Amino acid sequence: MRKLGIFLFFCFPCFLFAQQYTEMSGQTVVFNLSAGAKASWNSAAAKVISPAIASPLRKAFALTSRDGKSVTYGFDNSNASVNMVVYSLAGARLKTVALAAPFGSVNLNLANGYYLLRLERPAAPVFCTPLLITR
Amino acid sequence: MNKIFALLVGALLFAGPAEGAQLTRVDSVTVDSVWNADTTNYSGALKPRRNVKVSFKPIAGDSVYCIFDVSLDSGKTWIYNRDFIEGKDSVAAVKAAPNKKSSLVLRLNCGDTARAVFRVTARSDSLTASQFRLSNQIGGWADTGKTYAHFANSIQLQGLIDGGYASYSAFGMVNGFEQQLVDTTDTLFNQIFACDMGSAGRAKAKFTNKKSNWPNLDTAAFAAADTTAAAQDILGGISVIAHYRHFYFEMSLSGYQQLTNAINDAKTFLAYFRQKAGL
Repeated sequence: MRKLGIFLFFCFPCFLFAQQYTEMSGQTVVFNLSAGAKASWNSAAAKVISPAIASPLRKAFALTSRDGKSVTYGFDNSNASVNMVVYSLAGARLKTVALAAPFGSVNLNLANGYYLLRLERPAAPVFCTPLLITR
Repeated sequence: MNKIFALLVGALLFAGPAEGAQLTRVDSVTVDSVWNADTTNYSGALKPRRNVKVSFKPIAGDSVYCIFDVSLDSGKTWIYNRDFIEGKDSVAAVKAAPNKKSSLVLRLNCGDTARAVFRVTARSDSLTASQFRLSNQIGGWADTGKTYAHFANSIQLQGLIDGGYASYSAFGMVNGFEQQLVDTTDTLFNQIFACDMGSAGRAKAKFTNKKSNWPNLDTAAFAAADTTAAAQDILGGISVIAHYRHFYFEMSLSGYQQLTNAINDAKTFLAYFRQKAGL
C-alpha cells in the first residue's frame, strides 16, 4: 500500500500534464492544382504542430537514452531554474542535478533498476516519469 | 500488492503518458475535386480562382475544430491568409464530428499552380473566443453590456476597425469579440478584443507582428515574467497584447492616474485569460 501511495504521489502529475493542448495535422501529397485534379492522403506527413507556447514549464519531458546511461530532457522556459531529481521507488531522494539549459542530456550514473525521475522548479514539481535503467 | 505495483509501473512504462497528442489526429486528408471559379473584377479583368473540395477524417474522442492551410511550395511554407484561402460563407474553421469523414469546399484566389499541398489541423480543445467574455469574473469590474460585439469572421471586423481587419485576415483569424468593461468607481475603462486565430502558431505570429509594430513597447511590464504578453503606455493607461494557445488578446485600460495600477489590473485580466485557456 505504501508503494502504491508513492507511485500515485509521484506519477499522478503525469496524467494531469497529459491533458495538454495539442494540434495535430494531416495533409495531402503534393499535386498540380488545376480543374479536375485530385490529391491523395500523405500518410507519412501526419505530425504534431508545435504550438510554441511559452508557459512556465507546462511542457517538459525526460527520456532515457538508448544506452541507458543518460537522460535527455527539455522544457519550455529558458529563464526557469529547473532541477532533475531522481528518487528510488521507496521515495528516497538519490540525485539532484541542476539543469543548465532548457534542452540537453544528463548522465545520472545509475545502477540498473526502476526509479522515479522528476523535473522540478523550487517546490514545484513540473514533470514526473518512471525511469527504467537496463544495460 | 507488489504485483499490482509492478503492473502499474509496467503499464505506464510501456504505454507512456496518454497525451492528447495520441488521442487527436487527422487522417485521410484528400482533395476530391478542383474546379474553376473565375470571376471578373470591376474593370472587367479576369480574376482566376479555384474551388477545392478537401476531405478529412478527424480521429478524436469528441468533436474537434479543424483549420485549413495550403502550401504552394510542396509544404515548405503554409498560407492561411484569409484573403487567399477561405471556406464557403467565410468559414475558416469547422467543428467536425470525430471518426467520420468530413469535407469542406475552399476557395483559393489563384489560378492553376504546381506543387500544391493542403493541410488540415485539428486541435485538442473545444474552447471558443466567446467563452472568454467577461461579466463579473474580475472583482471590481463589470461588463457595460452595451458594446459587446461578436465577429464571425475577420471581414466583419471592418465595422470596428475598417481597413485594420486585413492584418487579422492575414493571420487567419477565425472569430472573436469586442467588449467594454468599467470598474465600480466608473472611472476606469477596459476595452477587450479577443479572437480565435485557429492555431497557437497563428496567434503567436499575430502577437509577434503587432509587438514589432509598437513604437513605445514597454518590455519591462510583462516580458520578464510572461513572454506571451507585451504592453505599451498610452495616455492614462496601458495597451496590452497577449496570446494564449490559439487565442489572441488586445486590451486598452484607461482612466488611470498611476501606470503601475494599470499594469497590475492588466496582469489580473491576463491571469484570468491564461487560466481560462487552460495554461
